[in-house]
Amino acid sequence: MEYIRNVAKIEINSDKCTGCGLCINVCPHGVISMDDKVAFLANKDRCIECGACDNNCPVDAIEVETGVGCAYAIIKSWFNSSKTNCC
Amino acid sequence: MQSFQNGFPQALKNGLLNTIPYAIAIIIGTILVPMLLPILPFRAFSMKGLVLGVIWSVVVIKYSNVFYYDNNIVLNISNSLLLTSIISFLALNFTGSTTFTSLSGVKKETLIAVPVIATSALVGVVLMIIGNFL
Repeated sequence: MEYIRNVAKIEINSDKCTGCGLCINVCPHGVISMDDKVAFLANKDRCIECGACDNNCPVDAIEVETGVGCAYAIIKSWFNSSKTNCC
Repeated sequence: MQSFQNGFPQALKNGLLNTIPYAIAIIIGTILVPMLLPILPFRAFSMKGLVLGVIWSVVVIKYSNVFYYDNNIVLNISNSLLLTSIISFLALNFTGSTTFTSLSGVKKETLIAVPVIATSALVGVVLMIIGNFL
């Protein structure tokens, strides 16, 4: 199942990428693929912004805005002005 | 207002019957929506809830006499808006319970869905008050 399209905030800096493949191993949704020893976003819409690739990248080539996609926490943050991402 | 003409016990009975579609709406939003999540159309959870909300509203309007609703178009619209808002909001709250939603997606959906749901619920309440005096 897929969620809303064209919203995932994930970027791969192909200049920094060394092609180690760790991101592909840790990604739970097969978002990243390898082409000529450089990682690229094959299925960006399937990204759940868990941040596993970002945390495991040894050269810090991936940037993801991580957080729990919880509607209640987002609504709560509107009223509390705090950046809570948990219910 | 028809209820009050026959005394308090009748009003209480009618009030309880009036509540049943709302109790069922909560059950639909909390049990049926997650059960039917892969089958329901649309990607946004609030839209999935909207589908069931509209279906339930049509059922409630069709059987309005069972729930002791006055056959009044304003009340029918009011009930439909409120029932759909409840189911849609409850469906929206399941975004945090799945394995395929993302923070950015939920932010986008919440920003659009919540004001729409809140407005329709408010309009529903106002129409409910107006409809009872017609």
